[in-house]
Amino acid sequence: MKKVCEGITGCYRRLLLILALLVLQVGCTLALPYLTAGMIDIGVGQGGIPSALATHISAEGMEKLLLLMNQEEQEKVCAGYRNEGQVYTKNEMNREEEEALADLMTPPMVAVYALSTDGADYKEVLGEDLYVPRELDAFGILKLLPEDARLELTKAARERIAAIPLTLVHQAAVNFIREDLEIQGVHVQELQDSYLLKKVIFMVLSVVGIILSAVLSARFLARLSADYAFELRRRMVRQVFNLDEEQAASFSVNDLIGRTMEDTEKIQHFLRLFLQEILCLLLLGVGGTVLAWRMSRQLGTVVLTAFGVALFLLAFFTTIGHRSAGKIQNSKRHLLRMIRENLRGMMVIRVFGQEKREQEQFHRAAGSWSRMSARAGRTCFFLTPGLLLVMNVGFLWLAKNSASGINQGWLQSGEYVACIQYMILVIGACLSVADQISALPEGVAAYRRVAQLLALSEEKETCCKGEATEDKRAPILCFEHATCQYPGSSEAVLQDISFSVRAGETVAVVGGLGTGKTALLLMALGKMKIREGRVLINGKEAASYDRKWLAGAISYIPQNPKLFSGSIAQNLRFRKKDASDAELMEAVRTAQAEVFVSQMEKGLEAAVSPGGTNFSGGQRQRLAAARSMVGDARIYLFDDCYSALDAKTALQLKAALAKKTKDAAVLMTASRLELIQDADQILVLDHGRIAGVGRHEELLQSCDVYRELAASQGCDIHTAGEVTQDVY
Amino acid sequence: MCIRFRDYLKKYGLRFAAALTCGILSCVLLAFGPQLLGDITTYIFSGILAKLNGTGAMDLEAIAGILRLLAGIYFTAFVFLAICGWILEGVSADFTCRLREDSLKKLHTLPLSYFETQSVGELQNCVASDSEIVGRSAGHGIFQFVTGISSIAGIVIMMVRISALLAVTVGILLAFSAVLMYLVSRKFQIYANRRQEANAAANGYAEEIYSGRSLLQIFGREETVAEMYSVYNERQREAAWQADFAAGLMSVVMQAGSMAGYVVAVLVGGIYALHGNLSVGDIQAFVHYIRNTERPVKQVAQAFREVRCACAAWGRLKELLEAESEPEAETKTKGKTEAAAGEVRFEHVTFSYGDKEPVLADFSAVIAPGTYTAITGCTGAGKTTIVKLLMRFYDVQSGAIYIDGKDIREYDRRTLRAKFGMVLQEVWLFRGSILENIRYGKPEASEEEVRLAATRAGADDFIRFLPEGYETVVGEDGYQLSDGQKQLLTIARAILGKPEILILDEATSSVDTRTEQKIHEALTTLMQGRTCFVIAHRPGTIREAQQVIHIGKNGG
Repeated sequence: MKKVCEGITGCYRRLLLILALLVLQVGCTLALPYLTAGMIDIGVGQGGIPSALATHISAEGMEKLLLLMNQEEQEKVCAGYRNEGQVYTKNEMNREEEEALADLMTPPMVAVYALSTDGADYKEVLGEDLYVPRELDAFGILKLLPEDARLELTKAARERIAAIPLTLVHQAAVNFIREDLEIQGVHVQELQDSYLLKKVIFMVLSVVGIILSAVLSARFLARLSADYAFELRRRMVRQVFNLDEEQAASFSVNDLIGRTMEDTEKIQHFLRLFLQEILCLLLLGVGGTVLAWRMSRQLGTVVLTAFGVALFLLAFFTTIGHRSAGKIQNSKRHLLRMIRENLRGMMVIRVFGQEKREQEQFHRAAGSWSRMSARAGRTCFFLTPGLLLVMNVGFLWLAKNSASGINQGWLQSGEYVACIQYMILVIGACLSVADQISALPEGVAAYRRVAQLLALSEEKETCCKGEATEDKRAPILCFEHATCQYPGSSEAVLQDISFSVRAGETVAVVGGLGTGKTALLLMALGKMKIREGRVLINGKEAASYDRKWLAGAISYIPQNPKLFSGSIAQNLRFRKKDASDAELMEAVRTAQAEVFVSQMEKGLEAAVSPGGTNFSGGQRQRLAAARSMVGDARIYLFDDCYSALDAKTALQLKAALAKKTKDAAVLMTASRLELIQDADQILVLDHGRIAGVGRHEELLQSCDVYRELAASQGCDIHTAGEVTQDVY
Repeated sequence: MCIRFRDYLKKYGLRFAAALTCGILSCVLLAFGPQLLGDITTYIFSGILAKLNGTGAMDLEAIAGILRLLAGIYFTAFVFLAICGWILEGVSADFTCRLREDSLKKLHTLPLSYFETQSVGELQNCVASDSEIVGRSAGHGIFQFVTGISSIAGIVIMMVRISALLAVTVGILLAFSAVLMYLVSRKFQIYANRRQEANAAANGYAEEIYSGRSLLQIFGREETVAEMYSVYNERQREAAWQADFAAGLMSVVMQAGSMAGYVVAVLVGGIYALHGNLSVGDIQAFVHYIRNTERPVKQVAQAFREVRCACAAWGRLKELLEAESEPEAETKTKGKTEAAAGEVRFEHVTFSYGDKEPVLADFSAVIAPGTYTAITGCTGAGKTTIVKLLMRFYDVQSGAIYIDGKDIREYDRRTLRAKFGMVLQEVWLFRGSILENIRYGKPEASEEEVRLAATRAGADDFIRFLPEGYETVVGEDGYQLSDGQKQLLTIARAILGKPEILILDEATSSVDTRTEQKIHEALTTLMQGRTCFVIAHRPGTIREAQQVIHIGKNGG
């Protein structure tokens, strides 16, 4: 697991940058409803006057206010304001003092406003039994009265105002302030307009902020995730080539390709999804909840609950989706296999007239896929409508709470509108994650597969360099009671194999099909799991050598002459990177490939398609032989390298190879006995054991298996030449 | 033959109609949501204003009424949506399943020449994936499209109802962002294609080096290969980030459009509200509608993408489904011609693949029943062609082939092919036990018969040594048999069928000479009384043939 993370922790600076951009983006997004709330409550509702505590009050207004206060209250107010001629100005004070002062001043403000409104019924405010002379307004009367009488007179009014929630009184007090401002000669309309304009500018800035940060973060994120996938793929390819046979046996080639390509792409997608959508969702959720909470506890709870439920739904459906996705994947793999079988065996199926049966089997498999997929699809389909439902129920809850809240005065309308926006934002983010929900379990599964491969321990460090042995007679390659098995299998292929090859010696291995000839060569290459005994090269165990050194010391012609895309020259320079063209041509001549290589327009630079499919089997085999003839080696391993050649070419190749390898140890297998008759030693394999050792003539005498083999080919040798000549 | 998408859809017509009705209904219902929420806001706003001014109180009763109505709407919409999804997911799966089965059936009727022009991978993709893409877009894609469009329609209508001028203003903004998005999406398409190409190239290279991993390790090429891969890797990275960035930009443009719409709505709506032309609730509803456009627009864009993919996939499927099948037997002559069973006669047969040189030109031969005929010739000369002609995988261009005295074109293909037993050059085993594989042509064969056939094919020896004997699972991901062993199994399969005419097409090419000899002994007994064709290039195989047909460059 650690290994997969390496790439991402390495670029934490870029991660932080992306994170910062995301925070900015989310912040700006959340600011929009906040600004809207301000516009509605203060801009529209309070005419652009933010606070119930006016900074300036006209002398006239202040006088009226003081008339509705007792001695103590009047003193407090006078302490808060200083007289500057026509205007009273608020002194500097802290928040708590301001709030206390506002609580004190707003009820009289409401009362003054009610009294001075044209057509207001004094009697309703001041009481029924008051006589007001025509030439005086209410304040004129109050001014004439002593404090006790004043308070007595306005008691009823004050009590009624006191019954209204203070927050509402604050809002209502704004009316007094507006009127008072007009007395001071301020254009109230301008005040409101400038407030609104300020908010609008902030809004536009927020939108610009959102767009900028979104564009930038999209760019950085795209780069980051691409870099990460690049790094993963690079490491995967290296890891694949670090695998030993035992480890590799548990993966098919397609599996490895899938892990390197599709899985890294899924992780890349997941990373983008996570860093963008999911982080965004979390930030929005937390930020939205906090802001809603600040406006009102109750609405905050609603947003928080909806957010929690939505998260739960997402997590729940991700788990379910993950579970069923695995099953569906298996079912689909099954289907794919059946289709492949049908396509490959089209002729056989028809010859045996089994079309119906295949169709029925397919019908069953396809039906089971269909049922599974429908079930999974139906389950997951509920996610989106479910989230919508959560959002809508959230709306209802918000509306219900807000109606009573606003009625009771602990909430303002704009705040309610903003909370609705937060709900839309938070659940909207969930919805957009829900659209890509399948990428989550896929990303996790892909991550596991990649991590599993990367976690395989790299092959043990082997750095033993082989020294040339002094003793010319000492065997270069030596098998001591070796028993081996194919990697990933538990059955012994070869048992108790003992023999040795000295420099200048040729040992041939023969035997029927599947007797383990190739396995014997692979054992020398360290590609087999050796269960018992040892395989020694220059007296040291083959497995203990550094792989590079071994690659230089051993030259191998595989049975399946696989070439790689590129040019012929690139394919030939496998063993020796800096081989000159002359060296390459020499090898080509040795391999009897000059005939067709020289005929090619581009010669050595002629293109080779993947697998070498643009060459015939015989040509491929000769090129593979040439590849192994570039540079020198101490040990040559030839695995049936004449199988695709006609008899004449095979004999020529054999002679050329013998010349080139005369000082080295040669171990070869062949199916045609005529090609190995003159080997220094022939090993006969049967059922994974050595059935006979010796020279051709000896074996003909002593070994039944060898005799049978020879007999089955005896006549072939005689006629082979003719037929092939006939063909070519 | 013409296969029409409509005909397929018809089969699900009722379910579609039901699902789409539900989908549209839910969208229509949901379209009322923001308006009603806005109404609540208006009630609250005017209520509190009245209260502050002392001219009235909040109409809590009316608000509660709207809340109840909304709850009903939301719940009903949810139910409708769920029903719609339920039905469509089912349709998707069924439709996919149906397409798959139909295309597999079709594969069984196509002439072999069809498979020469198509790769296995492509056809497999066609049957497995293309059908899924089409099926999915038929369910999911149509759902997205219809609900998206009806949501947008609903939103537009509601917006216009609130304020036409505001709707037009916002509409222009959204249209502007749509144009911008279209431009970005075209860029995105280019990058996405480039990414696909880069991935395909890298995949190809990875496949090559991974399948040669062991060999490359032996040659010590790990470093070089990793270096060479980095060129592909670099191209992948470049294409990937550009495509991702373009995709990111698209969503930013969409978001920006809706954000700008929001600001404009708040601003213009605010001015309206100050003049008393619009209520606060209406503005809120309007803003809500703007927010709500984002999703359906995304949905429709997604649906378009899906439909475009589906169209391409449907094109490929249609090509497969409409391909010319092997013609059935034309006329069945009633008069039975007299000829011993197993006689094969070629009369002036000419055949060529497409417009190429004829493989066979005016070829005539009579093969007596019960004889052993070898067919030789160099690679590519057309040895296998004779066999394919015999079994009517191809039809002769002129001349005729008679089996048992009857023109093979008059046989029903099944009857004709039932006469043959065949071992092909390319071995075919399906995933299943060895037992199942051997009795493929004769499912009713007893285990004893299978063992006997295996013994005669020389396969029993190795089968008994397998971990689970005859129950060993072979084929893909199964027990790995060598090529020779697989060939032995197919020989056993052919032997079990006891056919009139036996054809061995390079049947022993992967078997070593010693085993081959054993098989030959077995076959000699099997071939007695049967007409037998053996295609081979090994001289040993044709030594005992009673006649040899040699196919040269120009046939004959």
